[in-house]
Amino acid sequence: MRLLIVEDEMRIAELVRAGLMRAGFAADIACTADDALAALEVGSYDAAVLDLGLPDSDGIDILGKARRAGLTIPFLLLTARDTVEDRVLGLNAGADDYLVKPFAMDELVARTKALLRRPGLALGVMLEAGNVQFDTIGREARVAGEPLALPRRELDVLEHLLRRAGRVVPKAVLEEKLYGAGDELESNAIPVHVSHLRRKLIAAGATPEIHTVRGVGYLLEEKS
Amino acid sequence: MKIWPQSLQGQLALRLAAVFLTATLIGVGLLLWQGSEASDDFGLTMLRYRTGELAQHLARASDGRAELRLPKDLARLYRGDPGANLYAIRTQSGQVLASGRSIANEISKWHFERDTRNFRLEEFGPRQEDYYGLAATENSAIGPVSVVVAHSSDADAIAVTMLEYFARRLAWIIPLFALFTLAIGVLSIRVSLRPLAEISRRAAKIDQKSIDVHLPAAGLPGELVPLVQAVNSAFDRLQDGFAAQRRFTANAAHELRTPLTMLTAGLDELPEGPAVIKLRDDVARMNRLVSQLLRVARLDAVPSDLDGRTDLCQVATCVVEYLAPWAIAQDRRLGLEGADTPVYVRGNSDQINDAVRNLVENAIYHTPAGTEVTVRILPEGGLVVEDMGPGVPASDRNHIFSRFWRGKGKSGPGAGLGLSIVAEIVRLHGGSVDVVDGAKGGASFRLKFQPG
Repeated sequence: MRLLIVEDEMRIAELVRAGLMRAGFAADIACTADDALAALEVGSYDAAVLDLGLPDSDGIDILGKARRAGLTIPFLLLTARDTVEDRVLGLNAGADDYLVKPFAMDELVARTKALLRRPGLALGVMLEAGNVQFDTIGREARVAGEPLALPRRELDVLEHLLRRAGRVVPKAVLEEKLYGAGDELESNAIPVHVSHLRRKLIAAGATPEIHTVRGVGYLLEEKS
Repeated sequence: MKIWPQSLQGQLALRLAAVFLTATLIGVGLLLWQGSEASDDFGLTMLRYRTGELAQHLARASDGRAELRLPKDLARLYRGDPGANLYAIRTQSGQVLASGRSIANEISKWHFERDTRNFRLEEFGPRQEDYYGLAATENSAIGPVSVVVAHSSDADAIAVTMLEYFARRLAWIIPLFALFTLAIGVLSIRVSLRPLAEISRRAAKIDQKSIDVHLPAAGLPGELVPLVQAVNSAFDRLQDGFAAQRRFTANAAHELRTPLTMLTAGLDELPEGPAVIKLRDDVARMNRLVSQLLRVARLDAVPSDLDGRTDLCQVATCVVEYLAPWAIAQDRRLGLEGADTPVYVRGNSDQINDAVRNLVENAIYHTPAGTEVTVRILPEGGLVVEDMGPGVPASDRNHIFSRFWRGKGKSGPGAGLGLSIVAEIVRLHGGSVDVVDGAKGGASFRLKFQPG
């Protein structure tokens, strides 16, 4: 996995590269828009981490040019601007995700991994959080290497929580993913599945925990 | 009472009316004066004609004496003594040749003059009437004679009546004409001012979202063009100011957050330990302060559209989703109630999001570990954020929304900006925010917006 880091602030670029390399990625650094476009043209990168504020051009421009040139790799935007308008602007320009500075390195790595396991990309067979692993093709969950037997619905819940580990998965999204539009759905179906799954994870000694955000959804997070 | 109208149209109409009134009065006066002059001239011309006429009918009789032979119609004119018309003819030596009886005495007293002169007899004869007359020297068959004619001023009555009749006609035609002209004047003022109304409409459309609008100068009366240009250039300067402020906040965000990012990433490189955890908290606090300062700068300087339609449920869900991981990392829980059906309010969703986020952050700071912060949507267009912390003492409730205000002896993580941002956003939106004791102890912040 090779990533391109486009960032004019050398110190941040190096810190980001160090973090990504620790997570098992290879990464190159481009400091200007011209360098970035040249690198994207010749190198075969799997994803790019792009800073919006560059000295010679706006990150949005690079994104637009890359997308127009037919480049489909995921882009993660880094920016100091945090208004909703800025976020919408970035996502409309073709960014896949958006991270506001300053960010924790863990967050950056997690987001990058999430981008790389999008459907259509080779990676994404194995989802991981703490000591919990999930094989999306074999549909098998493991805790600390030991297989954990789970019914289908609970496996589905675990998969979606793992895909967005560290972030809230709305209950409505789970309902939509687990049940088709025509299926009869009892109002407490999702809470029941989640509570069973939570108990089983605890019993198996999993390090991440399922938290309930009452009225909104659930999130899976490593115990701190 | 205000007599002088404030509107340009009213002022112009009033002035126009005054001009018309004055002009009409002067015109009518002139006309009447000229009319009476003309009738006087007419009278004199008439008298002059009659003196000549009388002289022509003077002839020498067969006995050698002068004799006046008046045709019937003239005889009728001078009938009566004294009638409406008087006459007398005398020779240059003063001998009266012919005359009405009553005037003969009068005439014989007069000194004979060659010149033509007019005279006035007041309260003459038994009827005590006023007469206007003319004495003139005329040539006749018996040589030069002095002919005197006069007629009673009653006979002038016709001319005066005619004049009166004419004036009465004018009396109603002239005001009507004036009114008509005035109406045309007002109408043309109104038409000329129409571009002004159009500009006003255009200007009324300018709001915080569209300050780049300009007023059109095309098709305007020349007098208004400088005003419109001045206003437009004022708009340009305002716009430049806003653009500069936007640039400033964007640059400040970048400049302040870049070193924070370096710090954060640098700390991640260090081996985990109590000192690193403490430093990480410090950086997080610094970051929060920077975010809030930037928000304050944006609120102060950059106008935004406040008329949007915002679903409070969507905003609250967003905020809760966004803050939940952080709250859980602090061992606090978050809950959302009443978000099943949309509740629309009028306002800028970005700013309302900021307000709710600040309230929830504040609540999470104050609620004890292991407890929950609850966000409850109010169907009438508001929401309540409840924590289980110590609550806000009644004496502090008026101050907590002031900028940089912090409770006595408090050493919490905030700089005292969060709630002031909430208060500012609420003020801009015409909403309200207050704090009471929550049902489960703790504080209960209630936020209200205008229904959308």
